[in-house]
Amino acid sequence: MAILALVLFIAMIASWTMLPGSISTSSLDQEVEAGGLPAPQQG
Amino acid sequence: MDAINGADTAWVLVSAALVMLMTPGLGLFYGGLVREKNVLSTIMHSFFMLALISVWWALLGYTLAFGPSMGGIIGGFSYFGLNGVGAEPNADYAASIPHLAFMVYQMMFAVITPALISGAFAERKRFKSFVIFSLLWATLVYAPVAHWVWAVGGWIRNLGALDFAGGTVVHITSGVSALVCAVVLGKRIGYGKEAMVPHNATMTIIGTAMLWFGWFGFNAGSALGANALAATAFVNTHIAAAMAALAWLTASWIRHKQPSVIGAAAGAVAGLVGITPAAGFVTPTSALIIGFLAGGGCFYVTEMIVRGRVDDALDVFGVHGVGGTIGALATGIFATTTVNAAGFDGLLYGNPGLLFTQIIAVVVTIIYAAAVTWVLLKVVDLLFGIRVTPEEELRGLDSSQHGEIAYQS
Repeated sequence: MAILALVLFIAMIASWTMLPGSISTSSLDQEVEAGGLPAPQQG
Repeated sequence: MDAINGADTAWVLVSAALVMLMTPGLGLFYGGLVREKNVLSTIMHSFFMLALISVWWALLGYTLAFGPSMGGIIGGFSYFGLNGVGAEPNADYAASIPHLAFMVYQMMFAVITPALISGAFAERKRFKSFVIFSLLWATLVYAPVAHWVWAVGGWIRNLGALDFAGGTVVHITSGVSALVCAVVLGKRIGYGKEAMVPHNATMTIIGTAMLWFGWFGFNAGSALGANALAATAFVNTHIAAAMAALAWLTASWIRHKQPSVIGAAAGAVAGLVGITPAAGFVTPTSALIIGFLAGGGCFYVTEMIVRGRVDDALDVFGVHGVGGTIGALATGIFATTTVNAAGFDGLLYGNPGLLFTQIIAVVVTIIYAAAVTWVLLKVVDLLFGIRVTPEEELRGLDSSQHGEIAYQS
């Protein structure tokens, strides 16, 4: 069980290194102006 | 008379105080997620339960839940108005602490459970209807299910189902009832057409921190003593919450391309819910797996199934209903008597029967809570009107229901 938990932990952290880490302010503004944010956005 | 143990009594009283703090913490958690015009009413839904349900519990709730069993269905009236609940221990539940300490500890569970439901009908429920519904719900759903699962003679307890700290009694009942509330009340005006973004993520994080802190009392306190079992439940609670926060954050990051702060908070709560029924029956490594399952599973149901279809405004079903169910079933898989000799081995330890028993407990609880909640909502709606008028909803519940506003401009 500990090995499984370790694998899951490492896999999650490894996935973060491949995911986008930021979004430009301008593109966020455009999204809000277009009413494009999903509602409600809770996570 | 059983001997009162000072350490046990101190731990249970401190745990009761910790669980008490969870309810205003829940108010902040929910309050940050709603729009600015509804923050006070949302906080009030939790805060007011401290008063309303505490009095109800002392007068009626405790005896219905923990009074001498009448056929395994409900408690008798022996403890009505706390009659006979005093300094002497009740050996049926906690032989080393005063009966009053056990009663007040359980009171805090009763307080937070209807408060949990309030997240589903945030921003649109009439306050007086909320009060009447909460009282009826506590009497007809919470107290009976608590009796079935936890009381000596309760029929689900007699089946051999395990629920260490309320995965079934607290989280499945409230989560399922929340879904029914969301369906019956309908969507908020503008839902799906306009952004309904959390107005104060900072408030939500503070609320999450208070919940996480209080949950040590919720789970480790359920050992009802200052002992090794409490230490196990404490550790399991913490690492399951941590693992679930990581899992939800990962799923959220993949889906929304950003590591959401509120996602991490929701994930932690999902993990706390998931480990609740298992905290005193599983090993810490199993708690990590349960946390992962709860974080990922709750995210999936919340984002992929519920949101957009039903306006469960603050994801109560997705976090508490699903998290409680995952935890209850996981208890049937991961439980081991090496952790708690008073429990049973689960599927992984050679006893598939426990998982079957857990499934029965979960299914019965879901059906009962959903059915009674639906009837109660219809009755309250008929008598008082359950939803505010469109004008009141657009104006905001803080102003229309309470005559107050949270922020002065």
